[in-house]
Amino acid sequence: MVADELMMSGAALSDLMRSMMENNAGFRFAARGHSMSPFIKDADIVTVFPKAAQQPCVGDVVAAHPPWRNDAVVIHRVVGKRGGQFKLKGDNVRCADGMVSADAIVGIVRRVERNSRDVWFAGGTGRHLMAMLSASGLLTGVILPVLRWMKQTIQ
Amino acid sequence: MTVQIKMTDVYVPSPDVVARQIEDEFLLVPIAAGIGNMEEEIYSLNETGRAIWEKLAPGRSVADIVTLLQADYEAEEAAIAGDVQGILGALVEMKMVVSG
Repeated sequence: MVADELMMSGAALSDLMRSMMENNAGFRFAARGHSMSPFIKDADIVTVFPKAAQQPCVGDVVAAHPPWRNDAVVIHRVVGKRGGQFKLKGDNVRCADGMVSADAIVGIVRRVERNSRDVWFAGGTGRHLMAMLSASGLLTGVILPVLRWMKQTIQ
Repeated sequence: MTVQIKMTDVYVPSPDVVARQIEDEFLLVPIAAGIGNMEEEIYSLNETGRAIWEKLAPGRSVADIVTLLQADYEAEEAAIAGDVQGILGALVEMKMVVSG
């Protein structure tokens, strides 16, 4: 009866996450992909909590189900707000995803774990600065390449 | 440990479980400390388990569930009762259902 190694499509994961949020519960799962690297890496364990009455803020990392991704939920950062719409962007992606409505945002990422340790992902302290750097292109264009170069040089 | 399920017992889904049909699986996800954890155990019910789960209701005894299932499935009452008691026993052990 235990579902060992349950493989789920993006749509199924999104559906299950939505049902958790509807039950006012958090949802902890392994994230896939590199679009939020280095803050959230492939296979990091992410915990998403329901949106409170208050809408997400600029800088929050959110789980969203944008209309152009029918089959998946994306974990990206809110880098702008306008007229009740939210602009999402992956920190490791050059271009923003586009605008989504509040309904498309399933929940807010509150915790990221890697190798059983909590990871700072600029979801609380520093989120506004990170949103600004991400939106301006400085993060992918300057900061992350410099950090990678420094890391390689040190190694 | 095997839980003995009496025909007069009444069980309902635990409030700490989210049940959802996801693609071709009927999943039970325990909520611990307010979080449904995909990295811990989640449970998948087969067709029989799902039929029993959907019959759980406050005030509805195990015997009532057997009677309802008999109307849906062509099987002997004793066989259905055995399945219901077995699956409910497992669900009680896993804390997926509670006394109603």
